[in-house]
Amino acid sequence: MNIGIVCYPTFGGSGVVATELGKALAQRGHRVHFITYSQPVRLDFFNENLFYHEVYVPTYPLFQFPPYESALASKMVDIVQNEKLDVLHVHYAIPHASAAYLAKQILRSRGITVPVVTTLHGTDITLVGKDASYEPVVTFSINESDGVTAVSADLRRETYEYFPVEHKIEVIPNFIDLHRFRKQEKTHFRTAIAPRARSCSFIPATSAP
Amino acid sequence: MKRVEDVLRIFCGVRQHIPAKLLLVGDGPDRSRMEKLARDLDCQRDIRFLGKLEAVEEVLSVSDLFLMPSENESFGLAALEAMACEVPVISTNAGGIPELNVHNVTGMLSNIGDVEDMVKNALYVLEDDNLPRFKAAARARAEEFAVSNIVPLYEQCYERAAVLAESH
Repeated sequence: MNIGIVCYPTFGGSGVVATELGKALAQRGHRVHFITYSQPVRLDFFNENLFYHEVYVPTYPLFQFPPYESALASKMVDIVQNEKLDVLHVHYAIPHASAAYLAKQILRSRGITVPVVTTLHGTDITLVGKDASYEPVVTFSINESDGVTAVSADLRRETYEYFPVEHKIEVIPNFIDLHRFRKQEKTHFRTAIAPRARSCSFIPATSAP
Repeated sequence: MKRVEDVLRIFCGVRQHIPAKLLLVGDGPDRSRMEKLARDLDCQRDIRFLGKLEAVEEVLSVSDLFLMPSENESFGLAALEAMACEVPVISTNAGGIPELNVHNVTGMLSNIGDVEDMVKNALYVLEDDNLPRFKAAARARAEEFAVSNIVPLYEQCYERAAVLAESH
């Protein structure tokens, strides 16, 4: 498939998962197009199936807040049309899902159908999305998606609890690269850090890049 | 949301009973406050603030326990990374964490803010007779979340979405 992935390219759960998903899909033979405002932090190597399309947001004195959502939707239209994408997969509802809806409608007016899949990651529902400033747009764009996934059953429950969402939400949990994340022999490090003691760790964010 | 203060209090509680070290990864506005709290709790000598690290798997490889006292986690990816490195997890039962960390199998769960219970759980998991089984179970659980198991679910989702979009 030709897959478009829209995400935040920075550190943090949703961007990491989206980037890792794109890389895994590329390894399985799909052509994956990342559409973001800067290069995803872990997309730092060459692969014939991975592409990056930067969303450029022109500034203008009139714009106190540059209209990123419009620029993103326009870029989605461009990439779907010219790269012949089979699906748009947006990670983190705000503002990606509503931009995808707009792009989908523009493409429909040009006779092109593109399915939109929205993945809910957490704070797009539990913190930011609930705010009255965003709630109607989040609800609408989730309901208008062709596929909706959440990273846990609890997040799905919260989505149904706080938003009038009617769309079926499928739970697809996050995943892990077991080759990178495995116990390594680090005896010297262990001896230096915690000789004759138990060792506890705390890592507040996901490993990111 | 991450309740970093609880991390320090849990650790200091554990350290009152057994020799232990705490490795803190990451940097941010909370760090100086945490350093002060570590001094106030008189456990600063056993805490290493490692700052921002890319190779967290190296830190996890020398860890016996991972602490996640979060108030809210939609999934708990950092806990999954720990489990893949054979590190059991002491966590809250908030959000999606219980779907990942299985109580008394891959680690232990407590209510948000119940530091005393998390100290008790940590000491239990760290016992010589218990730690090996928790470590093995953590890795086995993490293997269920392998890329090869999850990515096909997205491929199937794309196919269903395509059928739905065509039908509209």
